[in-house]
Amino acid sequence: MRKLIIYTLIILSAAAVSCDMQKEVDLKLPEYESQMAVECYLQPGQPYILSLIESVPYYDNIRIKYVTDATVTITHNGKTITLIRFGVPIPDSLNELGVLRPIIGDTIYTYVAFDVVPEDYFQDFDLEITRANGDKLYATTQILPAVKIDTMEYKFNDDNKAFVLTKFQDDPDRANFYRVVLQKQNLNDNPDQDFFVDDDITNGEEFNFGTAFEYAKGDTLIRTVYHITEDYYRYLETTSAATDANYNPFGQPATVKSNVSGGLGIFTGITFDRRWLIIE
Amino acid sequence: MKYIFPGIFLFFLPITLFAQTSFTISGYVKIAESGETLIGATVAAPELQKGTYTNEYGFYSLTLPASNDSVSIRYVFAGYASQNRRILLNADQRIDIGLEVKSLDEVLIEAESFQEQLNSTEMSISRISMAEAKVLPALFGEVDIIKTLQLKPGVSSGSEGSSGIYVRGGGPDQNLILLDNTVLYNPSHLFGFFSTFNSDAVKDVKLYKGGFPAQYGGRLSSVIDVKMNDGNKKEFSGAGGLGLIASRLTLEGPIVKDKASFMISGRRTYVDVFTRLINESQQDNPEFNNIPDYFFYDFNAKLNYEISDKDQLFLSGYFGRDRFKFDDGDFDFNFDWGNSNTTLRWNHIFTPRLFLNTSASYSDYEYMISNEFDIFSFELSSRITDGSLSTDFTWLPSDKHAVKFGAKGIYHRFIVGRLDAGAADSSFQFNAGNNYYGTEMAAYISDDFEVNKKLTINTGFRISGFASDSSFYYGLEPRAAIKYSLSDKVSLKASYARMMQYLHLVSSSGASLPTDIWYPSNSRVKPQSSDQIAAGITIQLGEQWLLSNEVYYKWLHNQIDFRDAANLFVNDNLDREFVFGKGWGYGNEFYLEKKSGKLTGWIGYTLSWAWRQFDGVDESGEVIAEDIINKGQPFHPRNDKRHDVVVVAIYQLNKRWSFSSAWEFRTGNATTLAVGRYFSFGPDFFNGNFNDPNIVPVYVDRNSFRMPAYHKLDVGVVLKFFPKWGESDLTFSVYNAYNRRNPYFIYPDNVRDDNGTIIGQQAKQVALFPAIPSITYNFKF
Repeated sequence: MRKLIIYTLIILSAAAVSCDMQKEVDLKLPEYESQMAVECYLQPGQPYILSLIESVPYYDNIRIKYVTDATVTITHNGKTITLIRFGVPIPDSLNELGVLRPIIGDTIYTYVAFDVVPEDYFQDFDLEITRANGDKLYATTQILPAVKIDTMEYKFNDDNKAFVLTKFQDDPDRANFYRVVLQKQNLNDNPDQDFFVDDDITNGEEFNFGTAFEYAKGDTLIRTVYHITEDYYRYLETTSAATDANYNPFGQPATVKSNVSGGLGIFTGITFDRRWLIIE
Repeated sequence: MKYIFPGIFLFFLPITLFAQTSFTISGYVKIAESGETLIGATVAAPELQKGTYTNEYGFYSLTLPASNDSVSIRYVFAGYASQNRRILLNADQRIDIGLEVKSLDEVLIEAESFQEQLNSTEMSISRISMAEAKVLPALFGEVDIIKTLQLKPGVSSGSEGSSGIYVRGGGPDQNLILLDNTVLYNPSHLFGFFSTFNSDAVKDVKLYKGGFPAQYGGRLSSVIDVKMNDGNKKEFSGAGGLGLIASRLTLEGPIVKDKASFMISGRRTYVDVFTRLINESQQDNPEFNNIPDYFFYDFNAKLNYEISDKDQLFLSGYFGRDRFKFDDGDFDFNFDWGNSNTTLRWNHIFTPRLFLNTSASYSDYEYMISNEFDIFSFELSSRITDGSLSTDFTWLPSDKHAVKFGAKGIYHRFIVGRLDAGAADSSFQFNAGNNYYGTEMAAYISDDFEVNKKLTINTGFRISGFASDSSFYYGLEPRAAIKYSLSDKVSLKASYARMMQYLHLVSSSGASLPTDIWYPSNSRVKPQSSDQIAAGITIQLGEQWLLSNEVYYKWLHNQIDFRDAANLFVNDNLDREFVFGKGWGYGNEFYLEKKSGKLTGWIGYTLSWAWRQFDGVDESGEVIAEDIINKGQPFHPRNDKRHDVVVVAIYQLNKRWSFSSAWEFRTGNATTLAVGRYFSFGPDFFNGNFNDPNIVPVYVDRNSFRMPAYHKLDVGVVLKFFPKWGESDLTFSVYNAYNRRNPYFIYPDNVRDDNGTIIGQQAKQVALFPAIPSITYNFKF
């Protein structure tokens, strides 16, 4: 719908484009006080990895400001794990980071603990971050069991183009939230599809996710179904709305709903099932 | 409660005591050439200093004291040659008058032209003359009565070029838009850029911003009462036009001369004709993406039949559709929306002092988005359908009182977010959506009581109710207005009105979009209500100028907004997305109008404030965190405009040439811009899959930023021709003549270095319309 409206605006303003209807403006925005922005996805069987950066005034330098002076702990089942600051230099061989390098710099800084995240579903994980200046950040989350993809199949039309259909079953006994991603060729590519859905009107039913007839023989498709927490779903929902409103005159700016107290971002458990499909 | 109605009738009882020593002159005031009734024409007995105005059906009733002397009755309507009739007041008399269109050479000053504004208790009204609307410059040359209304004080559009209406700080859903007594739910075409009203089919437009008469209800902020032409009862005639984007044709004429007539009017855009040709010419070009088809059309039709000199029947209808289609062979996308309206109306004159209007009407608005690819199909639609019955009496028991009373019932059916998706081979099927039903009812009574020559008091009372599912709401809506004449050229007015609104528009865009959904009050969604007080002064300056100044304060209760990231499309529990709060607005409206002479026009200046607050406090005093917007602090809605200046001038040089211009200056819209940001990487990034991170904007206060001021000048020239078969003209106009880049929205754009690498962000302002010249050829015969 929004694309449709924007398309109409484009048609209406066709003359406008040729008349250079855009111009740069200097905005006098109110002072913005930076906050910690955290991002951590707990995946069973993987080490603890957490990104901690500072939010900045919107038109500030593009380079990420890493928070380097924090003490980060995650407590689960009475056991507290301390994450340590970890910098990974970016090798020049990673050409795909060409676009990213001005943003992330030559080194990605994260906080890491090489303990493995336990496969312990529906139990609390508590995050606590303390900066040198005393600022604190708290969050709590759980990990939910992965949901299995039942079917991933493709079908050709008369033009030799294929569509891909993925099916999985919703659990009727609880409210569920999913992120469903489709990537082409490899996991570094930006997704062709990235949906987040709840089961509000489809509780207990089979979910079907299709595509347009746009794939050809030889294409590799990767479907990932994440079983996500409600907190992460709300975060994705509001992040998407906030981002959309930044570029869409009809969008309503949303305040991003975060489960983090004392900062911004998301602390969540995440599990997924992933299928690879080669169209033959 | 049960004592209220008897009490009201006791209040009105003494007025019958006046009825014995006077006689009543009544009838219709019409255009002589066509038999079309004139609304708001002045009918006066200057010697007795008595006067009245024709009602919305062109009927008047003037009660005068009995006398053995003859009395002169004067009939006046701006733009028409006035008439005098000398009569003997010894019996009730029926006088239907036909006024002739004033010749262009005749520049008569009609002091009575201002009588309604000076002497009526009605205030906070803006009226558009269709002659004015047609001569004013318009975007793409399409005359638009809603955009003309936006040039009046206290009225604004949501954004550039939009046909949305925001009145005195109210919302876009708080306007009751009536077309021949039936509600028009979506008054715009093309995502709000054009209104649904074809100016050739419209006779009269009256906008109430406050001081609402008791017969109106159901919306908080305004009533826009649009009346269609009845049709020429004297001879067959037609009118039409060829414009840049649309053409229109209206035909009207007698079915039985002086007894029955018809009017039919149609309009259609034709950009799609050209885009289809382009698509066809590019069929073999694999790089070419088809341009979608878009067009809109609308039809207005009306039949009227004068059964007797006491009975008239009217059947009027409107049907309009917007169609958007995109088909590239694999993917077929259709988006259709539009209104359908029908009214059957019966006017009956029981006695010269008792007039009845009864109508039955049907109103429907729906949109449907459908697409298909291969075996898969998807349909999303919403719809509101009304059936209504109303009856309105005007009773003039004496020369001191004008009583109006009546009742209305509306049955609503809502289809909200109906989704049908599936595959032809039944491999999957999905349905969602809800049907709701509601019954809205109201009864009212009001009396316009002329206490003495200086003082007139209008008291009114409306009771309304709404039943939906298991919930029932009712509202008591007192209305009052007072007029005090300091002299025959200066009057003071004040009013109070309470309004109830039981239907709500689900729209988070701030624009008028076809996908906006009407939603009923229910056990969770309470009706909106408002209280408004206004006071003003009206002064006639010399013979040609009228100055009015009004102040108002409006309180809005149970206002609806939507939680952040609300899902308003496919959602079976839509009202869970609503949050509730309050609003208020206040301001001053200055209006100076010149109605006659070669130069006519107006200057309007509005100084106003509008506020909303959603603090999450429910009725029990508990704070619901989910319902808080802007940390619970008051904020301005987007359409809040501190200053609003409009200058309109129309200069008629001679029979052939007339010139017009409209200059607007408005404070920029309040808007929300991101003040901070951070990057979000997503889960895969930490697994070594380096897809691009997202910029997450951080918004702080709602609508705390002001867009730069909006101002523009439109100019127009009309050159008339007088061929043997009738009249025609060429209308030239330039929208935004000095090419002001008015900001439509501001967005952050990437700044890249010479290698194309993103190195920062820069704010960019987008304007929508540059200077746009247009030409329209109009004709009538």
